[in-house]
Amino acid sequence: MSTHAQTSGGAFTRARQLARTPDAARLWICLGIGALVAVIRGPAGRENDHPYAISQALKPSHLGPYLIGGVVLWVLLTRYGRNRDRIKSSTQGYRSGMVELWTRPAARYGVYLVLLVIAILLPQYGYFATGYWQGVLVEQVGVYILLAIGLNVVVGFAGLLDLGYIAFFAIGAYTAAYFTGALPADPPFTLNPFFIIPIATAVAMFSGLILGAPTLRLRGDYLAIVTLGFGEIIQILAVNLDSFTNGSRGAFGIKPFSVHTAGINYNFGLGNLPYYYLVLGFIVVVLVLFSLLENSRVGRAWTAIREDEVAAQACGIPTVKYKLMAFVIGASTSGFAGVVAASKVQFISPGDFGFFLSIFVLVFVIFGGMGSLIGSVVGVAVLQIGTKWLQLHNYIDPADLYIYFGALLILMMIFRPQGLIPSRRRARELGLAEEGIGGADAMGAPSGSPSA
Amino acid sequence: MSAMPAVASETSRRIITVDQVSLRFGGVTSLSDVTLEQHRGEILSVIGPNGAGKTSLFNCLTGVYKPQSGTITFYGPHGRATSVLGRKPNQVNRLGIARTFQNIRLFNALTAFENVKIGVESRQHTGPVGAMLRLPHTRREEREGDQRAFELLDFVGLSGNRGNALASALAYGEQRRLEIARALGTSPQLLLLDEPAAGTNPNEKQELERLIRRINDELKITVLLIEHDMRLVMSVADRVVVLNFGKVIASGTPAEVQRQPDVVEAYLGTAADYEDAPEDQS
Repeated sequence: MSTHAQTSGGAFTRARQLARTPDAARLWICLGIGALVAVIRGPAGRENDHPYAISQALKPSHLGPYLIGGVVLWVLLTRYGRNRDRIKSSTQGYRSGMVELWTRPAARYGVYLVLLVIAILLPQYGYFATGYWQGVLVEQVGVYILLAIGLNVVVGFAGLLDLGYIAFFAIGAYTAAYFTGALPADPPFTLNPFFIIPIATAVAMFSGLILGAPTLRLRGDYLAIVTLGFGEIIQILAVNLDSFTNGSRGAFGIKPFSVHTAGINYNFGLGNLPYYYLVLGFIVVVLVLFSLLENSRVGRAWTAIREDEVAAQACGIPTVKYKLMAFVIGASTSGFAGVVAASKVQFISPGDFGFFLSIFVLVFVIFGGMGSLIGSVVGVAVLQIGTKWLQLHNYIDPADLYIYFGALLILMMIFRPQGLIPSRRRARELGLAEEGIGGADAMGAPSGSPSA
Repeated sequence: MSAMPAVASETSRRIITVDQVSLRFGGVTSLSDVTLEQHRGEILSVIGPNGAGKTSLFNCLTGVYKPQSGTITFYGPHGRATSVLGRKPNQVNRLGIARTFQNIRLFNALTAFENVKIGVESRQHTGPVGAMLRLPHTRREEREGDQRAFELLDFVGLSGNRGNALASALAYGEQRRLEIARALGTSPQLLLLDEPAAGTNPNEKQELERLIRRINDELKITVLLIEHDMRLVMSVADRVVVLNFGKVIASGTPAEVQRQPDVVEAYLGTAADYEDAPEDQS
């Protein structure tokens, strides 16, 4: 009796020990991820039968393949874990070769040129030469690239977390609606969207200044909270300021871009292609301007502030002024994108400027690589085209998009925190932080610094 | 000093005065009624055991801490007096007071050259519009900044390809000198060095001694030095101020200070409390 109890106790202990090994823990996590994905991919919930979605998703016929997938993931992870050093050293030559290539300006410009040619040809030939995809390329990719580039200045260059970024987009869009006479409030004069761009940019800039001036003096996460609130305020204003914005019904008939000069009379209308090339032109101009900015006195000052605010101040850099500058430049880019988007779609409503859009743009920036302009472009293109393609072919439910973006962010943070195409400075900061030198948490305040 | 005109009065020669400055953190008094004065062109050293308030004094001088009472006044080259108190660190830097940190604070992900250039550029005027459009004055400033940063790197002995190394990849002593170069980039009249010799080897200490002399002689920059290394202080400083428990307990030439019983006591402890004397040398 007692011996039996002992042996079973021994086996139990041994099983417990086995279950406590890192490999076993990893297996449980992988199975958990499998089950989670099964629920996400399973049927949607029902309002009067809450457990329905989960009970359906956990049926063996549905769950089985996902658990097998989990085991496969576990095998891959453990194998990679055991051979990580070998894999890393065997790809070292290739990786340093890529980095070496990337540091050569000629190679970089070559890549940019190829990307530009691809961008020019993309909506004309092949798979993307359909009305649906051309629309996506303008409204979902082009406009978001403009947005992401602007947010990159705020988040990537200056290290400020802006969660209400889309508010400036709304300000730009409503300015465009106002000056083309699409709002209930009559403008003193109507303008071509080309001339609204400077006005909307200035208005967004001014709003950024008003919002940023008091909050950027504070350290830490205040900015994130205040911008979050600002985003909500703008959206609620758009809904409730009925006599000005036409409330939740939105504004119809925003005029498109048009050219009337030197005998040319051209209206961009609703056409996707003309808008595509217009947006492409805008993107190229903004990219060139911002990359010059990054490699200037101003860009270096931002890097200094991001790395060590106390040292930056001691070097005579007025940190508040430079943060405000980044914030305002980001806001104005967002406002600019707002004009472009509004006059392309010709209809805006408060629902177009939800909190989640701010988060999406942030996800694009983080995915592409914070502080990397080309990373933002590629990040938006990959994620937007990818998700639209998956939705088009019913591989994913649009309602689940948020879950996938969240999961993607987590995976990026674990495996590639520097982003798809990291900026060289950012990548170095992260590398140094892993070695324990300095703080790479650029979005937070530097630690242990007394505030005056 | 002989270069100073003979008519220059005692008051016109001073560069900074600290008058009755007291700094408290809650119940802990860090500085109490500290008064000192530094003359333009001299190397003044502040010494004292650990916790004596040396770095607190530096932080007051650079606008990081705001003392509860007292005044700190900076005098420009023509004797124009400006209060340091109530100014932010970047505004203090603009007045002409640059500093280094006890625990080196470089921009580690940038190259040595870029570190110095950030210091140099804090005196330039290019704004975002100029930078985005590469206006002529921007390009000129960029060239001047490069030139000056190279000169300064050369001055502190980080010439050649050391400038292209990441700041974090430099040897410890090189990082110390790089921080000095960055501070010099902001064209200071007064340079505050917070324990520049801490953690350096004897060779590097000698180089540092020469560097401080050259900053003083060739660049005509006044130096205020916090240092633990007595040999360095005694050889380089024109005058020494001794702090202990937040109070000035002695001041004078290195030779004078060394002879004062208070100072010896502060550093070595009296015979009575010798057993529980604080371990001060870091």
